Amino acid sequence: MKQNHYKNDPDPCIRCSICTMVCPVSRVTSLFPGPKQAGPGAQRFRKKRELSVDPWIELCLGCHLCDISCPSGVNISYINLIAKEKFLEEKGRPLRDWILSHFHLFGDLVSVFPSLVNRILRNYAMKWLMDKALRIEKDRELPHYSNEKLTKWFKNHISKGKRKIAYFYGCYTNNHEIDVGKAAIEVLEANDFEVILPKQECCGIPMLGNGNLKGAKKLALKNVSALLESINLGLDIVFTSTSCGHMIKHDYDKILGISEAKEISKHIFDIFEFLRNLKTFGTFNSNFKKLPIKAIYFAPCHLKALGIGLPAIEILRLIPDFKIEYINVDCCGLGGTFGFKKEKYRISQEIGNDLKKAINYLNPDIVLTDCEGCRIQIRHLTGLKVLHPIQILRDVIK
Amino acid sequence: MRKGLMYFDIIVIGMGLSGLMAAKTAVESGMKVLIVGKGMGTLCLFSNTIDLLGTIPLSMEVEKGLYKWIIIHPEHPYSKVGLENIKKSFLEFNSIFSSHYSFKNENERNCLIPTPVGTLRPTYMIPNTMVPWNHQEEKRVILGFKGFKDFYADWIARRLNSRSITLSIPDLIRNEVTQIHLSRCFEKRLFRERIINEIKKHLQGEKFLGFPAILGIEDPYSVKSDLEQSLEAKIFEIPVLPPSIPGLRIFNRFKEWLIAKGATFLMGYQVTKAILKGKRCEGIEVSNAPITNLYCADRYILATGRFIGGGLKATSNSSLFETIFNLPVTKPKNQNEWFRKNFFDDHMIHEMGILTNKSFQPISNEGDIVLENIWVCGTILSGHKYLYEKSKEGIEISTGYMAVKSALEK
Repeated sequence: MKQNHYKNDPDPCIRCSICTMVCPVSRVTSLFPGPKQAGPGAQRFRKKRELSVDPWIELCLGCHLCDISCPSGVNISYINLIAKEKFLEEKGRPLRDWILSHFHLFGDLVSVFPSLVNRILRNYAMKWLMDKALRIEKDRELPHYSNEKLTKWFKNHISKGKRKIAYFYGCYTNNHEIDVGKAAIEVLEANDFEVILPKQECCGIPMLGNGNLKGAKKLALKNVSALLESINLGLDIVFTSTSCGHMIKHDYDKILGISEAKEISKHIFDIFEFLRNLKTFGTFNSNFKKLPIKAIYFAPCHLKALGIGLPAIEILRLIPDFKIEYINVDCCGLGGTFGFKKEKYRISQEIGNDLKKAINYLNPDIVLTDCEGCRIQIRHLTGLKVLHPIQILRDVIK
Repeated sequence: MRKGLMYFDIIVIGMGLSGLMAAKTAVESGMKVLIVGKGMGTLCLFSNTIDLLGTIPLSMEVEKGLYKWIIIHPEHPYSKVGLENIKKSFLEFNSIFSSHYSFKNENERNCLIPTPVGTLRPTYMIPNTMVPWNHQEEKRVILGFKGFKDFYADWIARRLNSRSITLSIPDLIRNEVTQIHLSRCFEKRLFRERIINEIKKHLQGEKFLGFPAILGIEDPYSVKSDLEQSLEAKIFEIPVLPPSIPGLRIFNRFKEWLIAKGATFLMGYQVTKAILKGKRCEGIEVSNAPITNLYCADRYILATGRFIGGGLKATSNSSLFETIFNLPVTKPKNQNEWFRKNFFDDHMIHEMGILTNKSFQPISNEGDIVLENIWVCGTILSGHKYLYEKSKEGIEISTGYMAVKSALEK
């Protein structure tokens, strides 16, 4: 997509405004002038040596929906990101943004006393303090740390299979939702793959979203060399987090300019995309139990930006008695760290309310979505049980 | 047959109305369908109502007018589809809409509706939110909103001999508002109540109120009904300048329907290459930098639109080409003949397009089929002047339907 213009060139924009029609932020607030104005429109007036004059640039979620809808191939979200980086560099980055984009660093620290940390993070006084001192919204639940990290569990796990595959689990799975990782590993093993966990860091997307391209690139370079090692051994890589996956597959090369990452892009797949490929080749284990429940599936923005269709729904439709419906709403509103920030929380909730309304209307037993951010937000909005689709698949494999 | 990782029965290229209609028709025939588009399609820019043939006089039944038109214009897409199939395709189009948002016509005839600049234009079907536009009604008010730049109530009202009211939008933070934000505001009861109170202060007994076409995205008919009840007046939407919320409603409905029925919907990716072998297309490459994916199918539907959609391109050295398969494009030899001096004159460029046989397969000037498993539909076809004929949506709906029907016969 858009390979000719993926630097911040505004000229292909014909000002048709289609992007403004799909932007979740401009849908709910007039504070953000919309992708067309904020991106190519304003870009024509921005100069390197002049100070930024558009603080609303921080309101871009980085969902890529504008890029997807643009019929002229403008990389609108990239233009916004560069402008955001410049704005934040001039204004100075708040400590809060540093904390939110370095959550991966706390994993090792916390793993000593996860339950204590969880209690502290849920403590009302603590939340009030963080709200006041750091401007981290007190009404937003902070991610709960698992008792054990996925990597630690894996040390005592023997993975067996005819072929080998590498799994990029991402820090959220490793620290907070290790059952997603376990499920992915078990499903791969049920399809006769031995799973390897290559050495990995945070993919860097929280930093990217906070306009810290340099920090993101540092992390990315570490991942690139580790993942290339797996690829050189002839392994494919799968991921369960569509945001990490999109970052590695497309943004490492496209935005961070790491051209070695191109090789990774060819060998890294969304886990359901990978399973769908197995199905095409006739080696997919579709020996499923019945599961008589009603689920709805929400497609994360970064899954849409991967351009692979909806492989999870295609695979889950094979489960007998399982009723799955697609929910035709764009963007949950969390936007990674965006929805944790006090001044952006209300916008995030407003975007989410459209999704909440649609979910309540369908009244499902369970909601499925591939992105941890979307899961956090949907739990927060609806109180429903929200899982990664791979967890359902693990449960039905005989 | 070459098989890629992703294999389909039919691949539709293009996400405008013709592509969506083609994908729908294919899905209904039990096909495994991929629809791919490089962006959202021009449906969301221009389409507000469904034109069929605006040149048919208001007094004449459209079917009769169409019958005559087909006899006189044998090369027009409508003549290739045929009257019966045009009717069928419209039934198919209407079948996916429910009472929340559906299309109607007036006594099987064209009707006049106001444009965003207050002129009147003929069209065939209008959404239930634009009824009852009644141009004989005297006591009428047109409503506008301060900060909403794509609709000037004052200007429109003057040309429609009506009165206008321009309201301030409650809690507007910047001094500008977009269609999409205003539409979402109208979905909220609380917002509507404040607007209703404001309107009541200004009404002088008028019973017909024209709003810009921003009365909600998901369920506009309920918004309209609620306003009608509270204001004790008839409400109708008037199209605004692009982009078009009514177009977005059509797009969203097709998208929801197609995904629910199992079609693969791939928006945002350009087809960068067609893999041809002899007279067949064996696959298409779709680019998502830095990788390219291969998709294969038995049959391909080309629905990429004209210049704005990106299906046709012109270069400065008099060459005009089709962007994916490089199909032959009809054109006058001399570039001077492409255009006329005045903007509203009959420019030859509008007639150019892909030449097809009666089954919508692309043919050369000599009449030979160029590629055997490609069918072409929508405005990219030659032989029509949709801007003058006011036939855009009609051509898209009927040829999108018919191209797939023809493809499935092979």
